[in-house]
Amino acid sequence: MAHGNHNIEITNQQFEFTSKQKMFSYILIVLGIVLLAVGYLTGKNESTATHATATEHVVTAEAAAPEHAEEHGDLNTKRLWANLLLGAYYTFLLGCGGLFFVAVKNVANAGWHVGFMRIPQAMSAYLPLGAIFLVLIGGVWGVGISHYYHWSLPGVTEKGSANYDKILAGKSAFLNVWFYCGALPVFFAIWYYIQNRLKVWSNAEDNDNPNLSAGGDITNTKWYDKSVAASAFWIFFFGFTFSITAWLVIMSIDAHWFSTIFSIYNFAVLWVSTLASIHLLLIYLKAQGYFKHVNDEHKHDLGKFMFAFTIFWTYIWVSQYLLIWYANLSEEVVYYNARWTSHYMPYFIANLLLNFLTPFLILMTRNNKRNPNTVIIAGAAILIGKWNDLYLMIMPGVTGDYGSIFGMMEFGSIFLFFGMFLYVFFNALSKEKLAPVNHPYIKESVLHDVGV
Amino acid sequence: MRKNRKFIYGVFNHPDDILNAAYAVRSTRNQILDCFTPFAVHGLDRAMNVKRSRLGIVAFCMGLTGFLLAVSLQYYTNVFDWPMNIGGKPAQLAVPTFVPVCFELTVLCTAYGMGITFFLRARTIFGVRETVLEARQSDDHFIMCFDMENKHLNIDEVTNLMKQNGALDVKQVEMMAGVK
Repeated sequence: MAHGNHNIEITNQQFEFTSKQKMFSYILIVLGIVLLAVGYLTGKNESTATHATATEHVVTAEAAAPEHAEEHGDLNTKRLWANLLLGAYYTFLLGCGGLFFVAVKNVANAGWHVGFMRIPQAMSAYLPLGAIFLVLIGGVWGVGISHYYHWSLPGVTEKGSANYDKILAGKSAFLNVWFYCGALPVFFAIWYYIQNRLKVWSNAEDNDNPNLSAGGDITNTKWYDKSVAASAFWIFFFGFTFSITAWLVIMSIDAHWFSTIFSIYNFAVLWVSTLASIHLLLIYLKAQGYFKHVNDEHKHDLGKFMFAFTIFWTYIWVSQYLLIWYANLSEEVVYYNARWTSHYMPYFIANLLLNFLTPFLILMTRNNKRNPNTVIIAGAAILIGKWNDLYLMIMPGVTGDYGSIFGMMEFGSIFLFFGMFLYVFFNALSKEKLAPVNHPYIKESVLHDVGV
Repeated sequence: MRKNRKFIYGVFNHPDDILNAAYAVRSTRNQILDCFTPFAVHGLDRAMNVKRSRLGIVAFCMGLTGFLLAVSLQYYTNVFDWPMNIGGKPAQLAVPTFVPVCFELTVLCTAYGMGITFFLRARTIFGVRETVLEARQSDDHFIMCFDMENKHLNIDEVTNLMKQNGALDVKQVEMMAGVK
């Protein structure tokens, strides 16, 4: 408990990446690949029966804007691709979210989070790998090889071609392979550069001020000041480039449809799932005996964050839904029509239950925010709910009604990517000191007290 | 009701001092009446053994009031009294259209209700007079106050505890004050 006397104890622990955790990540990865393979090979048989209904649904649902009116190709492979894109995008969001957490706290001069700052920092280590997977799966495979993005079909912009589409031709200055495979990697490279700088400076800071552990005070904030400046630039840059990423990777799956709130909606997904992941990882690592200097006060504030941004997500979700529902314009309504009057309806309802009602009701009281068990339930609901949310964004546009069959491929993709994410996370965490011992705000963080 | 009461209070210069004093007092049988600080001192509530605030219950009741107000208002105007057809939406009960107004009125009633309740309870609302114990309590000093009519109060002990923990001075006053 935070008494007035300021004797702080930061046990200078080092996280050890045990063989058990390594094995767990490997098993997840292998299981993911096996499930994807088995799901893909056995999935072919069911495609004929569902194909007819799927096409029928899509045609009625999208009579106004004849998207996907061309033949459907191999739905099974499309479903595999959509699942891989979902997994790659989801874990990529968590990587961005870790960096955003660190950056936004730097810019806000916040101190309470410093004790567990290494968790979001280690999450952001997945950023480069996640970006590579996203560009490979979305760009090289989805745009370049198989044209799963409707706008990437050959001849879409050529008059007279069977695939010619006037609307998409008008959007082709943005929706093209060069933007996807050229500009996006440049953005991601800049993000990675900032992520790498923040990590390097933070490590340099750890070894720079040896006075603090001997009871002295921090006088040198050189590394921290640099991080604040870099974070401020990155947040500004990220705001624009993340919007472009969300439009290109996810929104352009339904290339005729558009929503001006879509990028902030994707950001809400990113931020809420990041907060839930940080909290769950913190609970896990504390149970392993790490992070002794992080206590219920920090967890309480993380819980408040989860609670608050759950409502933020809902606000954005309702804003997008309500305006489209009320205006009833056919080119906008197709999007919700394909998700409501189809086999996706249960997912649509589950979306609100998992992402809003469950965490909202569970995290409402003070004691529930401080109790690891209730937080684990709420956090799991959020993480599953965000998967469900991304599934609803991606799957109907790629496969029509066919993909709403829930099976091995869905599990496989998530296992594969979360296995890799966990491996990178634990590996990055084991390379740094668990507490940034010379951070200017480490004292404030250890003494943090929410007051109630 | 107001009557003549006797208080003993200590004046502190630093939030850490009053926090330490509160912890020291907590380990004895003495009961702190209240602390007055220029800003919220984190952890002081816990050190003083203050019971959890019931403001949350008020917030729920106010929020429910706002929600019901919004539902009844919209139901009466849009469904019962003069059914309206906007954009071809079902005139009977177009639930999604109710959402924004319900949200806003719930937030409005909760925020104002909690604010007004707090000011009423803290006796800082317009028209209510509250005795000021010590002029410095509203400036830059931290006041810890004891009720001298409390049977368990050991005056020498609390005086010593406050002085040991850095109280600038300890005073006794008699003044008209509200009774709980």
